[in-house]
Amino acid sequence: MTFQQLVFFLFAAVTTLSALRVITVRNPVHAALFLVLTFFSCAALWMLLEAEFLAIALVLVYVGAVMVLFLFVVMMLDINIARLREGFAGYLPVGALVALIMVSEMVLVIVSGAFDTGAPEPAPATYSNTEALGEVLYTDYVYQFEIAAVILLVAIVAAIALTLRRRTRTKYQNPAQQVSVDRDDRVRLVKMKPEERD
Amino acid sequence: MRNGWLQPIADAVKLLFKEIIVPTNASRTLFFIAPMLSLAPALAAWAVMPFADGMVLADINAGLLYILALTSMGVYGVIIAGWASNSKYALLGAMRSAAQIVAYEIAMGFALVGVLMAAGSLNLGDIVRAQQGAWTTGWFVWPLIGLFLVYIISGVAETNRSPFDVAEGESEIVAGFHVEYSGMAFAVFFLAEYANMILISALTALLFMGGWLSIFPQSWAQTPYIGWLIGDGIHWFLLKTTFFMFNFLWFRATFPRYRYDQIMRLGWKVLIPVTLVWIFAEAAAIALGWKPWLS
Amino acid sequence: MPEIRNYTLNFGPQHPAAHGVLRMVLEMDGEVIQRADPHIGLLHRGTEKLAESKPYSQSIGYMDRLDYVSMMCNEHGYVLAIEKLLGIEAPVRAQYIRVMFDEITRILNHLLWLGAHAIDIGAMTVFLYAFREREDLMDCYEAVSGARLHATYYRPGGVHRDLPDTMPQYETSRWRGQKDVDRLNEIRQGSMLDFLEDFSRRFPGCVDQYETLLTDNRIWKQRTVSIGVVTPERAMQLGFSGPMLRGSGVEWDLRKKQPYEVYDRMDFDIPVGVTGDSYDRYLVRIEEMRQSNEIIKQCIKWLRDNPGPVMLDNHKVTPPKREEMKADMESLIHHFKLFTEGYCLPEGEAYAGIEHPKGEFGTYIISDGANKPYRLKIRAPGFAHLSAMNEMACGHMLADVVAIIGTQDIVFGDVDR
Repeated sequence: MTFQQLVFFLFAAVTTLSALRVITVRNPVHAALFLVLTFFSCAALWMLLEAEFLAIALVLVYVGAVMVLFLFVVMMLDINIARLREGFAGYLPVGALVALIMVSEMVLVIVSGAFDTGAPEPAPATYSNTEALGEVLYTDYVYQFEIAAVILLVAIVAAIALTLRRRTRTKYQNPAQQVSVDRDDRVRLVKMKPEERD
Repeated sequence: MRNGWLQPIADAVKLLFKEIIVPTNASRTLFFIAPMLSLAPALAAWAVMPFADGMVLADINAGLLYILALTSMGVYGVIIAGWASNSKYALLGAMRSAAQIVAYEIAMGFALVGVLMAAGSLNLGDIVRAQQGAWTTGWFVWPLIGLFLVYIISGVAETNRSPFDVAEGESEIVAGFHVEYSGMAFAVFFLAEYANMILISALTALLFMGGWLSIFPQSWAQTPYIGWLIGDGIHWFLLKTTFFMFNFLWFRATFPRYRYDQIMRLGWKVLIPVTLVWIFAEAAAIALGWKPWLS
Repeated sequence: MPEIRNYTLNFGPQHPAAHGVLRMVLEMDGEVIQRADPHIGLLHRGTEKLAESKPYSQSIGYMDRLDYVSMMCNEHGYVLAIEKLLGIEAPVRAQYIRVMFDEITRILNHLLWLGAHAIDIGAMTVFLYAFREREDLMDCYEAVSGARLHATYYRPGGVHRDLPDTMPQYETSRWRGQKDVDRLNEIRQGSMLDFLEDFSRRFPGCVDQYETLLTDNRIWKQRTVSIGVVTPERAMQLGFSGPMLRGSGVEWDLRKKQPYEVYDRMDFDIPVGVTGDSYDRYLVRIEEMRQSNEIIKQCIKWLRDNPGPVMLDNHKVTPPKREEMKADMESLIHHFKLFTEGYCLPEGEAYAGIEHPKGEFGTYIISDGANKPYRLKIRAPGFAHLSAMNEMACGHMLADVVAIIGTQDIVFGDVDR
């Protein structure tokens, strides 16, 4: 067993175990953190495949941003676990069906021999993953890429439009007006004659 | 000793020997993992830092991306600490930190995109080498001055330093995410904060100020005796890093603290638009072949 | 669905921005305050009740401990009420000394307020600067009374003793060599008035220094402008006084409106704000420090030219001189009577309000003719200000609550009494 294989099995084991824990732990925050670990060890596996750009992008986007926001929501909502488990039996047949379909699909794909390509040739040292990816994205797949970007933009606008509301009780300040305030307009020295004593 | 030179050491020794108190109903494992998670990425990022030409531990192609990915990991320490402490102040600190870091990660990332466009590489060594030129004319700080300022500001915000230290917010939420920590666990958070500060300072020096490059012309390096001092070398890198470190401390002493929503406003409404416009202008300049500095 | 409910935060009593022992229950929607409920009483020492069981002169020391950052002003209110009921007036020199120390105290208070307010909002250096000047003024307290904080210097019928000719000096220690000590003592060589004159010359420059750090700072403006706005009408309805009232634009100052001591002989202006937000109140207090400095200068000038008694010669109220006591039987008896039984106030009631650094500090005494008050009521300015907390903080964010506590200049000594 080479060193690379050892590393592969280590990270593969961590990935599988933490993925299992995601669905078995009771606490949603712990589950989210296990998902982070899964992503991270996936990134390490991709790194072994010399897909360093994808690996780092996975960490950057999913671990660094998406999961942070996910945790944000999970922590804010104080989820009542007991109540979530109430309808468990009712959903079981549907869930089992979905699981069965997914497993059979995966088995079909794996036995079809699509993955029997043999080990890929190691890329030359000057080969840049990032550059290759960029070239493909901006030439062959430029329309798909741009369409995906527009869809995401629309999603952002929609999400903001849905949540934006002006709260009546909140006092708002206008930063431009705040900053333009001048000292001399705000305080005046009043000359006053002392009043007579009684 | 006079003037308190040994005080930092005394503080560290004190913290080492202090008891670590775990709050009731705290999530014990996460409570202890959190400080490690905040320190580890800050230290791991140094693997790809070139101190001088060739003086780098791992000379990888995607060095800049690697650093971005690792700095974005640092927020987990803060979030987990805030949640695991089972304290309202800590949770508030974690929430503030999560929102702030996600916002400033984008501004920082865009500022770095400008740099890598100018350098045409993600390798930190290549980025520095792309900044060679007479005197300091090659430094990216001149053509990318806007991105440089955005990077410094979001760097300060990323490290949760004043005036963006709302996650800690001494006078508002006591100590924010690490309010329940004591002893060495607390000290590790502090070490992480300072490690991050040094990291950001070093990165600013590398990406915008020519890293180990001297401010004097190359030919002067042949001067007898003091040539090594004038020529490129690690001392220039350290000098520049120290300068930015000093700025961090200077800001802290001078500025009041932003309010949480004002930080978000600054990040989303000011810094990100600035970077977008700057990157667009830079891309146009590169496409048109107009490269006064970026040759 | 989990129901949406407000986040309740217990702010204090052990909180860096609680200014002592403020406990506040905050109800927040996210970070926006929906309700702020201040709880007081954690520093209640029963000053009013304690005073009922002691001769009048023995309660002066309690007054120092009310608002423990403006000690002599508290004494002043109490002493003035006693004098009013007794129908006596302090000698003119004592009145000038009192006015001078009232203004020193105002600067002391405003310096602490400035430092604390700035550090609440996150600016560290102002705090250190403010304490540098406070140190000098504390030395004046020490020179005149021997104590740096709780002076017990004002007495019914005058002040305890005349201004000293020497200032306390620094001494060398393990941490401070001869050279440092000489540098520090250089301005402390002459009399107290010399020292104070030197201080009043330096002080406007120091205020400029604080202002360069804050007044035009964008962040400072964003944190104070339109935060905690109180309209003039509302300020009067809420019972505001002092800088809180003037910040809202009401031209009211007891030193001008109901002059006491020699304030009517002083030439000074009243700074008044415009919109009633935190920034205006900040500017008003900054200007007040400058005006106080002017008053101090005028007092120094007068005090230099006009020596004289600082205590009434009425030994039914003021203790006789020590030398006289050694030879004179009557003085000895006066001394004994004064320090055991005290003096009796005529039956009746008196209210004396003074312009305390925080607002109107009032002392209301009801006497049944005994040697101690039947009832003593203290009107603390901070109490009225704190009760406006909910109104001022609602709709603002958590960080603004801290700024509002700062702008109200809350000190728990006088709120809880």
